[in-house]
Amino acid sequence: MTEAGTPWKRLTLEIESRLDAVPLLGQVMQLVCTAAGFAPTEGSLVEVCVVEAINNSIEHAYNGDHDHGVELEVNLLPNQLIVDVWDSGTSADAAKMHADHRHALEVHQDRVQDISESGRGLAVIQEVMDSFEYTPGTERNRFRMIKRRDLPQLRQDISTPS
Amino acid sequence: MKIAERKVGANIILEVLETRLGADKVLAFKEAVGRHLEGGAVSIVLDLSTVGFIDSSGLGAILSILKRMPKGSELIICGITDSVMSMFKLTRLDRVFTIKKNVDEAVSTLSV
Repeated sequence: MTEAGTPWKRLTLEIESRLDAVPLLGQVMQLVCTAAGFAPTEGSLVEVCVVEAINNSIEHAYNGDHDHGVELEVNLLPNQLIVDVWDSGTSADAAKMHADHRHALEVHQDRVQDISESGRGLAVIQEVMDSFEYTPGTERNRFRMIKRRDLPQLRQDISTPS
Repeated sequence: MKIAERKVGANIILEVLETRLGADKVLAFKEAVGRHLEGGAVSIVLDLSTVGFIDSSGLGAILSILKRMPKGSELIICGITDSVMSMFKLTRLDRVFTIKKNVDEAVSTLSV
């Protein structure tokens, strides 16, 4: 139980900082999203966001080095899913991370050669998740994503006092 | 990267036999599909019906193939699952690619 007395579920997993280890955490997120009651399509997008954040840690914080760890921490609360991705690599510029990246999703279909093949990860996260926060640290960096759980059953539970 | 290949006339059908197309598969994917472009003009039907997950790196890899298509050739994507389609739509790349429901529909639009 949390301090507020609401039930929650917590999961932590760690992988080596290898891109080929990321699908394992992605598949775990699939199960978490199903358990959280997200619709399949919405859950798959949440899974994508988590994978994007982990990829960022591996490719940017660790510059592709394999000998490190990336930790996934999932907190499933009645009204929201909180996902933290932790790494101990080089910190990113928090201001740049928090800038609006959604312009990366604009495409001009008549100028295919000009469409970038990369740089959509943060934009996808900003579009799908309700909020995110990057907190650089001297020992560890945290990338937190929050997705509300707006479930009919949940609404009923909240409105019906036990 | 597991990809099944078959020819229909001058065109090639590539069925991606992976359930996930993420950052770890991108290089292998580009190499496996890109080698079909080395021989000149050929249209490709990319069947994604087995792929249940794609991230922005995977989309970027498919986009890189589109940008490398020889003049006069087409890249048609088909068999897109709901979860993968949601990524195409979210990134607006569904407006960039020619997308068909299945292989038969894709092939019928190509000149053999």
